[in-house]
Amino acid sequence: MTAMKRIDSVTLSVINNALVNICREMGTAMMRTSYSPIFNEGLDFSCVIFNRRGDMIGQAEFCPTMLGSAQYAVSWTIEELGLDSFEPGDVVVHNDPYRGQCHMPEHMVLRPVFFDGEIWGFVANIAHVGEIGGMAPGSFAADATEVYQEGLRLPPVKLISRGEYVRDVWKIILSNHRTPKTSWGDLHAMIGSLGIAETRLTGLLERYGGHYLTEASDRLLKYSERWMREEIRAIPNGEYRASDCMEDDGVTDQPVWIRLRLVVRDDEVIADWTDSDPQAKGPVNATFVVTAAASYSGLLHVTSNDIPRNSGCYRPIRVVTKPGSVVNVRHPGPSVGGNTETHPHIQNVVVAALSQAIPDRAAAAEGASGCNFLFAGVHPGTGEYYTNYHIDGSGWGATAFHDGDSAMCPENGNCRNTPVEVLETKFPWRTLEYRLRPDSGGPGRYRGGLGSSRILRVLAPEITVNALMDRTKTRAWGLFGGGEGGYGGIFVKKRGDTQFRTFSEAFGTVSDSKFTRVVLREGDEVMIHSPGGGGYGPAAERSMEAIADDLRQGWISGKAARELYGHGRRRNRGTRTKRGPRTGTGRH
Amino acid sequence: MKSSVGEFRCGIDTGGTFTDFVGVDEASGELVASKWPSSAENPVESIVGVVRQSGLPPESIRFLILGTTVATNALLQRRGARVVYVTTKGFEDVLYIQRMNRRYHYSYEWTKPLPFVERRNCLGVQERVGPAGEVVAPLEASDMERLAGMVAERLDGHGAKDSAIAVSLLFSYLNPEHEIRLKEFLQARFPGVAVSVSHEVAPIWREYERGSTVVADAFVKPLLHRYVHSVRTSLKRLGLRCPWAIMKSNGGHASATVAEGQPVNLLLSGQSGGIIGGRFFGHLAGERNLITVDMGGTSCDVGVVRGGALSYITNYEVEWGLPVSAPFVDLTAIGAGGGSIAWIDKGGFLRVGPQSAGAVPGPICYGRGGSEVTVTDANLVLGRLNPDYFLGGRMNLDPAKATEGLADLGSRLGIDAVAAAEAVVEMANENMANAIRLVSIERGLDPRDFSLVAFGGAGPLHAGGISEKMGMARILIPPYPGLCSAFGAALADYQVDKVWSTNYRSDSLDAGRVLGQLRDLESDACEELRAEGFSLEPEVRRSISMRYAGQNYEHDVPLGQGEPNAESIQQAFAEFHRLHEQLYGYSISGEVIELIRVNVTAIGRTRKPQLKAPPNGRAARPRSRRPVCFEGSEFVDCPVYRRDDLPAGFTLEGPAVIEEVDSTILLHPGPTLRVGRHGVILIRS
Amino acid sequence: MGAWRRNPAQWYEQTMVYCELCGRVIPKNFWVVEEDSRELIFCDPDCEQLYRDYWVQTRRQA
Repeated sequence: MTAMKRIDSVTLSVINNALVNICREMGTAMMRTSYSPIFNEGLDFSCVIFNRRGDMIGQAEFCPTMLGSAQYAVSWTIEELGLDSFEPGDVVVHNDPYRGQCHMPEHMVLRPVFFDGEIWGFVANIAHVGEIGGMAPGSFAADATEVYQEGLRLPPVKLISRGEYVRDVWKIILSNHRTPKTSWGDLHAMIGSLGIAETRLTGLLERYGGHYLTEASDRLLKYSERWMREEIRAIPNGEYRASDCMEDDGVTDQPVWIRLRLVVRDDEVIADWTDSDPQAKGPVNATFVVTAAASYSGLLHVTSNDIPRNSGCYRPIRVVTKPGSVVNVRHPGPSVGGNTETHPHIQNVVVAALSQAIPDRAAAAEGASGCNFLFAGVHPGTGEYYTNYHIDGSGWGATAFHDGDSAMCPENGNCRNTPVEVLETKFPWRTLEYRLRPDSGGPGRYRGGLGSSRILRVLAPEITVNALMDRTKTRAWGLFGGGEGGYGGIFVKKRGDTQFRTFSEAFGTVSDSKFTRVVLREGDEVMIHSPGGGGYGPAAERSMEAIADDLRQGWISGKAARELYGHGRRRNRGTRTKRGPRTGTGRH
Repeated sequence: MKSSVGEFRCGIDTGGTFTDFVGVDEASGELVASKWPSSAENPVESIVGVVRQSGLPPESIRFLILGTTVATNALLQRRGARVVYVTTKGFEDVLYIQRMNRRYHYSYEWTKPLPFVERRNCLGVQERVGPAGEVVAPLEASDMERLAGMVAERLDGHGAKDSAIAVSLLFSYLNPEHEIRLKEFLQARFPGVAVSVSHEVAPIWREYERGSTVVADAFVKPLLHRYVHSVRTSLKRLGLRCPWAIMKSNGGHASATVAEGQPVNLLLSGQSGGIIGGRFFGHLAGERNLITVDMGGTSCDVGVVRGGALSYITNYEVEWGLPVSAPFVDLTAIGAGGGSIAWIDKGGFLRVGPQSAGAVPGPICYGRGGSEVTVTDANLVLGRLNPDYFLGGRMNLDPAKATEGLADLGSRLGIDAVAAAEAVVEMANENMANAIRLVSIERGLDPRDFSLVAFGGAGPLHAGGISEKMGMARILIPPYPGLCSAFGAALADYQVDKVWSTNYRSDSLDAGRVLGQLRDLESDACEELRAEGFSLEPEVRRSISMRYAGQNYEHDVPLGQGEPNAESIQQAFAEFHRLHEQLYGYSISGEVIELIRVNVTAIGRTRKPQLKAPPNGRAARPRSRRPVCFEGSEFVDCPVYRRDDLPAGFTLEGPAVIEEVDSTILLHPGPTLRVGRHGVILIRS
Repeated sequence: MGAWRRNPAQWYEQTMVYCELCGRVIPKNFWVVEEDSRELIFCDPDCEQLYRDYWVQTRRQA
């Protein structure tokens, strides 16, 4: 009997690896065949395997934001359509934010996997399709007030039925996107990778048998759940509160508050968001699944990295929201920025609440803005219309043990930047600089990560730009005495101007950080500053070596070293900050 | 001691534990081998030791090829030069910004890897080339002067011995003019200081990847220079006058002088010999589709040979997020060897590796103070290893201690020592099977179409278990499995790879320009071969890297044999569609194809020796018998043979154990074994 | 005691049904409980449970 048990535990980890590997293969194929930079350079997608009940049993690490939401998008699709409606060779697409999706650009494609004549499970991936129509090119309508302005909404519908293209559906989709050929290429990359995953999963089923694999994956779900419950049990019981705001919603110049009561009860966590503000006019609203995914992700950041990632580890985390609030948008409220901007704020709030219980495992707030910058136009070289979704990384928060990393994708994603050489090869911009911003990391015993600066010059007669950012008027907080990270911002210098200005100053947009359809001319320049991360612990406790190295590498200025860290002998007057024993008297 | 003077072609493999030497007499096929303990501190000492140990008179050694881990270790241990990095002004932070992504999804513990250059030493120069290779802003002499002043300041106090300059400018892969001028300028200003420039080291797009590569190159260059100098001096002291060369990551070799000029090509120098040796013996056995498994004490390298050809990749990560772009034999290395440690993770799953007990303290059964269960301990408990004939009896293993360790591990899993030993071996095999899946299934290949070539000290012991998992019906075990890598080094060909980035489309293609570029690369490559001393006609392979217009990643599409023409480019387009279909399940006929890179490889084939064959015969007697556990905790009584006793043509049905000095072959119940004409053992299930 | 029920809305309608506790939109099948002659809709009995031992206990009082 014990021998039997052993085989199971070994086989179980073998099966877990196999499921993860299938998802990785799916992702690699997508990366290699897709068209938009946000796909193949950004890796803004996720790959998952589900059982027939709608539990996620395997996933590969690409973009975490979609992993929590995949849970809802796939199970919704199964419940709405019903198991009976799937046939071998089908592919279903789905991006409806009110049906368990995170925001409209995120498209899920799903394929049933049959074994022994019946559905065993599903392979699926969710990816950011760059342009899906709507009021703003690039489909990031930062001043939208309704979902109908955000692009083409697709409830779960078949793109492929029994292996045959459902051409009518394709025609409807492609005639509503501004760059249909790119959508066509990206959707094929997504669908093609499903085929690869289906073949591999079928191979696994042939090796182990359907019942055995079901049994094994059920045990994996339980295993993850058990482990997560153990991890939660190690967090002191209590109610922890934290809050943060979106600086404005793109339509009205008013902050929108997200408020959390996080209740830890033995082996369960309740994330109660019901004190949050009502839903905003503009698109900073999160869908329920975004809030759920961000709550999960916050917990996953402070618990063991080795828990197999499946639906089981989400079960002990309960999410409570009110429909019609910023954390659970109701139809037809807009939500495109909820997934990219509000999502990391929600997650940061979870970690801030947890920092009161487990300070050593938490991090200060990150810059938390994807710095979404979208542009469109006709390429003067090819005469072809293009759109592109561009992102930048911001500084991460420091922890109890190290400085925050600089210029990182916010925690809700794991996208890569687009190399300057790729960007300029494809689009008519010249990059004048791409660098880190000294002093943008929040001071502290451990310093927050730095934000970046990117300056782009228009090389075409015109380019239409949209932006959706945050933390240009608010800043990433520090923890336990750590300072705030630097402001982000997006600025413009029209040809002939001598200085950069905000878009509100130059173009009269309502928001500095959220706007659409601004037309730039040849020679105009855009400067994107991503926000920095918060520090951890008092700056006065930072080691002299660390301060000296920051100065040496140029991460902080001499002024900041003196004023924020009290570094060096003071020649001028100046207030001496509270600090620990001084060990050196360098001169800077 | 050998008396007769022969004409030996020799290979040396520097392993983690031992440095191996193999010499093959090109005339007689006679084989001479030796082993010497490796010294991480002074690898040259081990080279001297192992050559002396072989007993070959210096004048009989005609050519010597080294596989070395010096470059790789310098990067892994971060013991390299002070590097000054020069790049286009405004982009000095690119090496620190990296790609914005992270290794783990949900972790506050991980931080970005540190580049091999301090941020302070990343300097900008005023210049700019655009995406069509056009000069947007010229490189001015006055700014170069300013730069020189800063470089001098940054190198202050560091002699040429331990400093280097790396240059990577935007779009230099399309127009290298500015890099060339900077290189000449800096070399003149800083004589003796190594200068690496990106369009020479890695003419590829993506500024981070190219910059990271050229910095890695510069970082290890002075060290490589010293290493080559030291080897040269030592060989001279030994009385060796023959030419010598270093294995490259592409499975070929290059003269020491050429090799030290671009050390970024040497990162797999110590690993690529194995697959060359594996391929050689596979070919001897008449097989051209091979998966090689080289399992030693600390790690296992898995590679693929397809239709007799190696596969290559262009990217290698020193650590996660620090890429090096160069031609590499497609090897997947995992931490699975005899010394790999078994442990239980927080969730209660059994894991094996990647940590290794190494040679000291080593596995528990070595009795040198090791206290953690290793794969070797598990094999011993299962009766698969002979405690009295490990390394030919040079070391005695302690089964009692190993059993104790496994019983302890088992108690934490709720099982006994034998079941635990089976689980450890099973996990190690599964890790290796996963590595095989990576190089085969993930590349669209069916492993069942391949023969498994198993070598390295531990490969033959695990081959049966791995092949079962993969459904591979044929296993090949070369003679002297533990020396296969050194053997591979001795047999390696000359190989030069040249690439150039382009930017063409199939709908507006000037075939003449592509063909011209191919010709230029070819003559460069062939000239380099001649400079190395290769005087025969080289074998030239050409390919074009393509993708559908709009895609971002390309595939190498080989051009047919012979001088390419416009027709062969058209055929390559058709082949690209087919390849896309095969890899991804669809193709887009009629879609415009972009030509991203042209690639030329020139190979100078070296003569392959005829090995002495074992005598013919049918009979051989087992030396002893012992109980061996194959599965389900049941021990089966097995005959134990000595490999030297087995004549060519000998056949045997499992279960059985075949022992030799540096390895043990495990024949599972069922499959049959046959000793081939050249001494290669074939196991068929 | 609760009961499972199916959302009667036609496929062409946009009627959303939300869970009383977590606020999620429910695709098709929901769990209905009668309380004070009012119908409460939940995702499943788990949500009802949390409604009673968390929401009613700690939040509704306040």
